[in-house]
Amino acid sequence: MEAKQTSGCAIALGSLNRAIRARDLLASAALFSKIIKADGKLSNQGCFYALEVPCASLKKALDLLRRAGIKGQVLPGRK
Amino acid sequence: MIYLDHAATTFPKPKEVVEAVSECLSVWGGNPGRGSHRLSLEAAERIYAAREEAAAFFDCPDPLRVVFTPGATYSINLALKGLLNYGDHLLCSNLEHNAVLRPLERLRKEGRITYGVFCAYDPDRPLSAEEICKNIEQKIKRNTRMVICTHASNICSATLPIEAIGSLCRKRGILFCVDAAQSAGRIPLSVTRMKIDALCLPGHKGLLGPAGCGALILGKGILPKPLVEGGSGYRSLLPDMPVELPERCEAGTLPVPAIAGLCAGLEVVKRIGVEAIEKKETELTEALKARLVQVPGLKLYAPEQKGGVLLFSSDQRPATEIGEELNARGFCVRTGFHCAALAHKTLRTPQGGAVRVSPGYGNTIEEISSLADAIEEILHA
Repeated sequence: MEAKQTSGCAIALGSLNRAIRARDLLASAALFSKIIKADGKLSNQGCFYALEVPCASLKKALDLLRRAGIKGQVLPGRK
Repeated sequence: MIYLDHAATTFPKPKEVVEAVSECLSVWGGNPGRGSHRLSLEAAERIYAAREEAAAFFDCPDPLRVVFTPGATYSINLALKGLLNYGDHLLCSNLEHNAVLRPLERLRKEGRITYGVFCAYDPDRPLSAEEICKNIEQKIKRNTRMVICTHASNICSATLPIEAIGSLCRKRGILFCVDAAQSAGRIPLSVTRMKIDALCLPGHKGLLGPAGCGALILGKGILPKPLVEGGSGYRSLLPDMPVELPERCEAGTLPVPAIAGLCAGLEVVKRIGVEAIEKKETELTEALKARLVQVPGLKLYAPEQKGGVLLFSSDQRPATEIGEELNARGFCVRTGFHCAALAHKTLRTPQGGAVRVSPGYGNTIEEISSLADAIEEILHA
């Protein structure tokens, strides 16, 4: 669960299982992220988990996740 | 005490399992997927690692298709009640355990499904995989939606040709559900190669974990309705269970210590090797068979089948008395009907049932020899 660099941007993923899977996928591409709980930050969803990534790597992270079939949504107000 | 009831539960558990459970209970066992504090996250990481371990072990490409359950019986109930619809027809084998038959009976009595039984074992002659598949094909109806069967019988060493049945089901567009209560960790299993849509597993038998957890491993695109609803740790403002696996089918807090033990058990099984376990248990059973076949009045069931379970009865003493006598001499075996009335009927065991001996990897040939001595003594007394 340790992140090597974190700041700024976050990608909402849903359950903690999905966040772990996404984090491992990014780590395998040397993109380090941190799992955060971001309750209430996505409208009417309640509890969910997100990955915090360096803003400079946000696009790369989204591309990697999309290619792996993992749906992620950029959290508003996290830049 | 010599424990020879490993088909009921494996005992004693490996020290790695005991240590993993203890560490979970004392060091890292928060509630996974619920909080953001260190112990909740640590527990979630461990549970996810267990999913990955189980998925790899059973050749499932996606760890999120591993649903943890309280055990194989729950997994079977979830597969049946979560996947079948009103009006569906289903087929099961003539070797099924009550874990399959009782939910089927309930669904049938409620008018939700109908089901038929195909012959997977004939005590009069061995059946080939082709013959068993033919028996299934003959019973398939227009509305047959699922075939469910045990992989390995819990009362004898008969196994079903899972790969051939899986291929048949895939070809006919029928869901294939496997009760692997006796085979998981004892016989190689591949969800992918065997075309299994729902694999039902106990944690506490061949996988060497503690009682209290099992798993349902689902094929691609298989999404059961939940058996129970409740907290899932996310999307908590929504009234319904999440659509995604595994959370959809994992309402409430998971049995984290048991899953930790199961993960450690899987690692032990991997280290020893399923084939080595199967070979050792078969050798022990065959050694016992070689002795018991010489005992007058003793009947062995399915003696032509090789595996880790041996069932016998005697025309001199009821099974329950033999079990009591063995218990008094320090042997743990199981007598009666083993929650498998249909399988006993198939094997034609007598009123009062039979005695089941199921050695484990840790038993020795000397222990089997002393059991055979004790059985001879009891039946000649």
